[in-house]
Amino acid sequence: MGTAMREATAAEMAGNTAVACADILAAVRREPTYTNHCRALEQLRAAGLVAPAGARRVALLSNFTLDPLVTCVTVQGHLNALPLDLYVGPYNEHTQEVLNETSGLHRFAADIVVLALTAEAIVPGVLAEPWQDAVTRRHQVEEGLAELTALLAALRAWSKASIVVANFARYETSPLGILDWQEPLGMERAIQELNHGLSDWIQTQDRVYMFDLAGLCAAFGRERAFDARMRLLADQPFAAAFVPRLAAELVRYLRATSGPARKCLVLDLDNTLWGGILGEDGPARLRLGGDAVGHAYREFQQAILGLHRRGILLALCSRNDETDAMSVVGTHPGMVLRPEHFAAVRVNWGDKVTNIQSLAAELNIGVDSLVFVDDDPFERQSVRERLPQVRVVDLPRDPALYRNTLLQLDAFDTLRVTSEDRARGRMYQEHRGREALRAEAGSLEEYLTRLDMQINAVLAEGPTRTRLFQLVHKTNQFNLTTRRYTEAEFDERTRAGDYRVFGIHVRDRLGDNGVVGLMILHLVADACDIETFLLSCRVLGRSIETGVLAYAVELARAAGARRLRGRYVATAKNALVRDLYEWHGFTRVGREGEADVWQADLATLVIAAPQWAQVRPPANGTAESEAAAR
Amino acid sequence: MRQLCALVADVLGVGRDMVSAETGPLTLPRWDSLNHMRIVAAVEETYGVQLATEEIVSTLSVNDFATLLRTKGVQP
Repeated sequence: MGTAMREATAAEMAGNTAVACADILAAVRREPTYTNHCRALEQLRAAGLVAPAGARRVALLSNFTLDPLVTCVTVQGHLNALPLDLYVGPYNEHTQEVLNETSGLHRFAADIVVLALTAEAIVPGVLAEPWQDAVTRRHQVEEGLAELTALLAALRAWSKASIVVANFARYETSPLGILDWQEPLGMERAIQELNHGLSDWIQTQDRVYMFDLAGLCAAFGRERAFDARMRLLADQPFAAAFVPRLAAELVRYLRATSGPARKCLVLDLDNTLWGGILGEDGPARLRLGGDAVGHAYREFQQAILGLHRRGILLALCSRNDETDAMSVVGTHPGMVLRPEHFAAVRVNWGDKVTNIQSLAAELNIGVDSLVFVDDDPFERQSVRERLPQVRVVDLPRDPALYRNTLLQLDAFDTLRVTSEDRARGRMYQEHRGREALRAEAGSLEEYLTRLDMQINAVLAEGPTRTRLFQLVHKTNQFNLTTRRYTEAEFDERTRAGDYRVFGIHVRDRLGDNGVVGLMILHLVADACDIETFLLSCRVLGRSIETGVLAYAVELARAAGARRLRGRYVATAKNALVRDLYEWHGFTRVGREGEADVWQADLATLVIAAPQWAQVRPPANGTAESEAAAR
Repeated sequence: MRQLCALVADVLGVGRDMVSAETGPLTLPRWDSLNHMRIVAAVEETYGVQLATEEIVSTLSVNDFATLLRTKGVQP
């Protein structure tokens, strides 16, 4: 998603007005003050760029005035290549907006709804009368929470939008003073319990995410984040100096509702993963563990390991002797990261840009999925200039700050982690096992037969749904139409009677590949359209696509269709599947916009999948999704 | 004074020739209560001052802001 948006923005930037806008946005990036955001908004407005075509539709509901936040969110959206079309609900009418079917919110048809309420709106008594007894106060917290979750549930029921709800921050000193935590339910604790309850509730809901306003206020500093004058005069609690930061953080969530933008972290070694230069200092004198500086590098490595566990691929790109460097990675007692954590390695004396391109090729991902971390400003600049699609991280000079720089990085932002994400590191190891088996087996057929694949169609439910939605936004190469559905559009297809949505789950004797493919069929009169067909590149070359198409033929016939139609929309990355339909006996019947349309007559079409690539129907959808989650 | 006028014009999104010392909510419709708060934030940010609630409410022209800034030892 991030990529597609960035390209769209690059195209817009061709216009002259847009060039002027780029200057304003650069000023905001340099000095993100509230006033610069106001100036930028006025100029975006003058250039007609406030809500361009294709902008994400976001509705904001609140019990306070949103004008300053809307100003900054609009500008921050442009800064992050995420143009937004904002709907602002009438002041303090969030409940009516949600419950009244003729409200502006209902008509707006948002992709994302943001609900930001102050604690006063939810638990007025708790804040206004801190001296009430704990039982009454606890009751009020529970009631407030029930009211809030009921409102969110109503919103979720009628709207297909993703929902982002802000948690609650205490914006003034407790009236109880230092007594606050001595009481059974002081003000801080009451607000924290509200947040805990909200967190518990959203765990049980897909499409509902919690915006950590409380955490952000704490990081910024409560006394600077809130301004009593603004609350009294303008009916919104935030200080002007805080609103840009608040908006930037909110935009991270808005962007992440469509899944993570980047997949792989490319790391330098010398003065990045350890202190010192291996070729000059030798392994014994590297700073890694031991003293404070050495521990800074270890802490940095621990943060990187956290990303690995979450499913981010790691790669090495360093100018060093490979044998010496990998021996340190494999044996140095201070190392946290070990060779098995790296999906690919380029340690040599070659040019880093070339190495980065070849890493991407080996991992089968685009360079726009990479994040590059190097202490050397020269290397960073070189990558920035020659591979502008790579996200380059500016490491601070002090290694003590490396860890936090990585933790604050938004490049891997996501709002859900699937079991496939968690298992990705292991999957790469299994992938290496398959490569070994392939070398043993004489022919490809023999190899694929020995692999003993079990390919199952699975329904889009529970964790499988989350995984499939992720695939929609991540899959670039084996993707016939590269259609990036919003969450709402995707869910609609899983429910509507004229659609058939199924995932592809692959297991083989070397391990579980998880859910690796998606097909969306649309029944239109006597035709069955293959609206989306995608497969993860890690299972290509096994004829699974043929098995899936054969299965689609069965489904289409069962639904009474007489023709099966497929479309191919060319992108920069999917040339791989340009002739897929031709190979499977379809005939090209024309063009629709950017799509080549292929068609086959279901009375005569024969797609014979090899024995090892037969797709089995979902015997029991729920059991399958549970299997996928394991 | 010219700098202050330019600041107000930028924040309101009007041409700089539209704003003079006499400009205020009564002479310029875009200077509404929401934009008034924007101007206050811009003045505080630019001149490093903090205005009291009463001052925010009763400062109703560019000239008023200039006078107020002078009382706080700032030359606009």
